[in-house]
Amino acid sequence: MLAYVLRRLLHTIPIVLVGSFVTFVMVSASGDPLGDLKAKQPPVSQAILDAEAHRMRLDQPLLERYWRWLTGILSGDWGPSVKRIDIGAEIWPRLLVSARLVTLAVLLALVLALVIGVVSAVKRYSAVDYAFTAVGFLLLSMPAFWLAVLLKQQAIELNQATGTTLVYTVGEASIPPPPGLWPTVLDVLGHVVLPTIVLAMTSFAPWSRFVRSSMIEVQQSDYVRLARAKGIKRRTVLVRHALRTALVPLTTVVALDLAVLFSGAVITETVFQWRGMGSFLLSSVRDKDIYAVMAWLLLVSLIVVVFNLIADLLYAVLDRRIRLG
Amino acid sequence: MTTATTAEVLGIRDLTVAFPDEQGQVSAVRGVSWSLRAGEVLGVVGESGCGKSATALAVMGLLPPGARVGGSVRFRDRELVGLRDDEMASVRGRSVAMVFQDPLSALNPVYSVGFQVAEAVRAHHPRLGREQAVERAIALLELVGIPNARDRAADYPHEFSGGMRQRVVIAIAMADDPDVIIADEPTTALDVTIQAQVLDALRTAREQTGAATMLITHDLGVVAGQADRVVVMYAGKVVESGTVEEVFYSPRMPYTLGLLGSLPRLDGREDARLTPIAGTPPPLDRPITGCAFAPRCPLARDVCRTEEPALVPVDGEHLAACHFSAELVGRRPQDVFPPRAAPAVDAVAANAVAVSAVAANAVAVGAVADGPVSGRPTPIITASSLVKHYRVRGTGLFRRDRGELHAVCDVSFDLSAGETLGLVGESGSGKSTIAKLLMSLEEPTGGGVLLDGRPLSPRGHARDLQIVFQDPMNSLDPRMTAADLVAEPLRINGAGRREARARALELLGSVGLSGARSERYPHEFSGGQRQRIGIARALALRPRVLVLDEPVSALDVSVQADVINLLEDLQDSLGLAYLFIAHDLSVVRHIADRVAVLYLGRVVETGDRDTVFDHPRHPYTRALVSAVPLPDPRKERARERIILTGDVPSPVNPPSGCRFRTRCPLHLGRLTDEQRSRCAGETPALLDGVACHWVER
Ligand SMILES: Nc1ncnc2c1ncn2[C@@H]1O[C@H](COP(=O)(O)OP(=O)(O)OP(=O)(O)O)[C@@H](O)[C@H]1O
Ligand code: SF4
Ligand code: SF4
Ligand SMILES: [Mg+2]
Repeated sequence: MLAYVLRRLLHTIPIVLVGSFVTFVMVSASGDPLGDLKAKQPPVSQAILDAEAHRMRLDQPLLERYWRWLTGILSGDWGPSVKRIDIGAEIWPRLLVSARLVTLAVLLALVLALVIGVVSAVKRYSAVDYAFTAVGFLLLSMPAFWLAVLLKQQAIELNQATGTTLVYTVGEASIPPPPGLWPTVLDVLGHVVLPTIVLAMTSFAPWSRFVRSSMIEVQQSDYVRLARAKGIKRRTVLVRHALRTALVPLTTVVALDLAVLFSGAVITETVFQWRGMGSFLLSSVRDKDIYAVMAWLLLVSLIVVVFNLIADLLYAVLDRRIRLG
Repeated sequence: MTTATTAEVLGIRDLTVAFPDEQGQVSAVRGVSWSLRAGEVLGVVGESGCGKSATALAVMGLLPPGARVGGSVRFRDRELVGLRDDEMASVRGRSVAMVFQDPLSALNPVYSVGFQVAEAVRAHHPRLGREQAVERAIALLELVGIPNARDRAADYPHEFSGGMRQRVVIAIAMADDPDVIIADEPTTALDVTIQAQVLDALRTAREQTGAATMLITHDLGVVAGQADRVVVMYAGKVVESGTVEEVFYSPRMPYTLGLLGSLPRLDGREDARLTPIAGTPPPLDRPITGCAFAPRCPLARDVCRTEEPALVPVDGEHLAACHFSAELVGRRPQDVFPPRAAPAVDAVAANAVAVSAVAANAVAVGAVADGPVSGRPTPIITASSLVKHYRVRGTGLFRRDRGELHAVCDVSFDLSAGETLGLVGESGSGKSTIAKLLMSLEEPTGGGVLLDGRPLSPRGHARDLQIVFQDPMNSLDPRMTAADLVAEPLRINGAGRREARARALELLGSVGLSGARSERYPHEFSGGQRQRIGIARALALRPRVLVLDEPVSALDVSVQADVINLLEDLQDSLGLAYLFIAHDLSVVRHIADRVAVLYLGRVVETGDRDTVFDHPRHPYTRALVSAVPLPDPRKERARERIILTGDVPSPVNPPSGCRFRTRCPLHLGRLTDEQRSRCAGETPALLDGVACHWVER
């Protein structure tokens, strides 16, 4: 197992290196970080421009810039920012905010996918199954952005109608937070509800289809039949033998979808004006803030890589037939 | 038998099972009745699709949703048909337990074996502690012969071999001391020495629980050895039932007689031709009027086609469903089922003249190249010291080679025109690898194959050597008609369109598929017919050697007999040489002239067919031969069986010295330590046809 983890990590290193180099080149070519400065009226002096170019390492060749960026990260230096922010200090809290959103969305999507997948597998070809199928495809075809705006609008109207703020539609928490622990928790929850729903909706539909089809397959398997032949109640067999086995491949599906979820988070956070990874990426792209964009890409890709590894390990623990190697 | 044992525990009355489908419904079981008495073993036999499994699943209430069940199943005084699923759950496992066919898929891959047995122990005793349940599970595993049961209980199913898994399933069936055990083809997927072990475990289960057993199988030999009474099913009905002696020695229904006659027998001394039953069972998706067997029955008369014969007593408790059962008294299979002369083989025989001319040439060439010493004709094929190793990769950090898989080790044989060499061995013995080496589908690691004394060249041999595979469905392109399939190799080798087609039709005719059938697609044929297409295709290029890799093992006996007869006819008229690979010793005994017995990639014994089967000398061959069940109740019960312990070891790093030593009764038995060390240290050479240091010579 340990050897496997090490080998997987060793394999990952060249991929991350090559990937980061390619993105570095592409991001660097995407625009001039000093563009805004140069366009200023009245124009800023050449000396200032040169100093800024030097600070942004634009006076060095591309390869050297990449090397400095890479080695810098290893010592905690994320590189200079156009906006003169400390990228490292800025990104970590934002990562936590986004991770909270993605984690909750994954949990919600999993619960929904399991319930709906299992029910429609057990009641296959019933009205319930068809209804879930229809809803699933509706959600699949609905753009996350549109869903987000729709929900936000509904929530605003609800809040206006009731005259209280049941669910918040702006920000990830109130600033400043309300006094006391419970009010703070409730406040955070109130903020997180809508974005979580939006993000969960985009993933749960395909996951529930996946659960449904693997449940149907497993239910027809010989070992489920043998379990029933032992005299175990149908419901126990369903959970212990069918669901447990059907769940195993879901780990991989979820891990692979993580990248999609982070992209979805960008849209959701924008609509709900969260100070998360989403707005960080958007503003950095707008400002052509090369090192900030690189920081975002690197973090998200590392997260995806790590979770895929975890999913594979989990798979091997859940299903002993899998030999890691 | 005491009077108590004749009480009925499970009574099936007029049971029907239908599966609705798009067009209507498949009537899988069309009204069967029988009773299972306390303590007895009732064999249920019949061809694939005759409703054996459907009946068993109906008893268990485990049919797929949508299946319609009618009639009655009574367990003691309780009616089971129509029970709710939770009521049925209280019957399953406790009153009626079941063992399924495929041990590889029967256990849940994500739970340990011990857990799955303990689960069965607790199913009806929820208050039993987890630990007690595990203790009982271990005891059960020990009973069915799992070595080191205590340690192995924590292992997962994939760490067990097929035979061991089936024993685990039997342990599960025993767990709650059931009154009835239904075993549905419990040994069909297993090798013959493993089958003997599993049948032994089933006997233990029977003795421990005192359960009455319903043993479903298509193997008449297994029934003859295990069952007290037998029920024969055909097209969803019972057509005959009685004691095994009655049914095997004086069958009163033509189908039963035909089945017995179509069976190749390990004890069959005379070269009696098999009597196949023409045709296939009727489709069950439309109503059947009259006797379902009438289209295949040589005794059928008008009344058979209009009036369905009832299952009536012919002699005491011996029941048969045939209008003319009285006519069967004292008749043998060959009296009733005239062995069909293969229709069009003669048509090919004309071509054969040309072929034999080539063969004669080859003999001449061979004689010059390598003068024959004995009276044996010059071989077409000579395989000398064939070796095939595969590399297996490890799972460590750097994946160093874990070792080599020794698939074939030092195998030599030769094959002459008109001769059949049977290659027998259990799964993993290297049979198919040898076929691949012959066909140049694999490169040998050592040794080589000579064709007419010259090394095989991958292209040149194509015409002379052809192969027929086990599964006719997988080896035929589903989008081509039978005629196209047979014409394809000809076209590839440059024959013109019309020429190829004419020859294809002629070949199809010679395997009994003439006329309009040549334009059908593979899925429109039965298994036996598909195998005929495979044979016709292999014959297209007029080969001199056919490699037959398990050519009949996917077929039902009555169909299998037909294909075997066809192969024999083709050999007679074309002078073909066969390398016949099979795990079924009875089939090999029937068709082969010489046999080679393989164990873990090595030939352990070889020789003339009768010598090897009648007087096996190698300890492995002895066990193998003794494990094959004979379809003859008296003989079968009188036989002494050598049951081997354990499983075939892994071909990766196989045992040193004699590969059989880990299971050899001689080695584990009466040998002295000194003698044993020779088994471990020195590979026994194949001397005088036997590879064993200590066999009496
Ligand atoms: N789930 C199902 N849906 C539709 N038809 C079915 C189903 N299961 C079985 N059948 C059909 O019912 C008939 C009897 O099947 P059954 O499995 O009982 O045969 P069997 O005697 O056990 O054969 P085998 O020796 O191949 O196991 C066959 O025609 C089969 O195709
Ligand atoms: S009833 Fe007629 S067709 Fe059926 S088995 Fe008897 S003789 Fe043959
Ligand atoms: S050589 Fe030894 S182990 Fe091998 S078969 Fe003979 S007695 Fe058995
Ligand atoms: Mg069956």
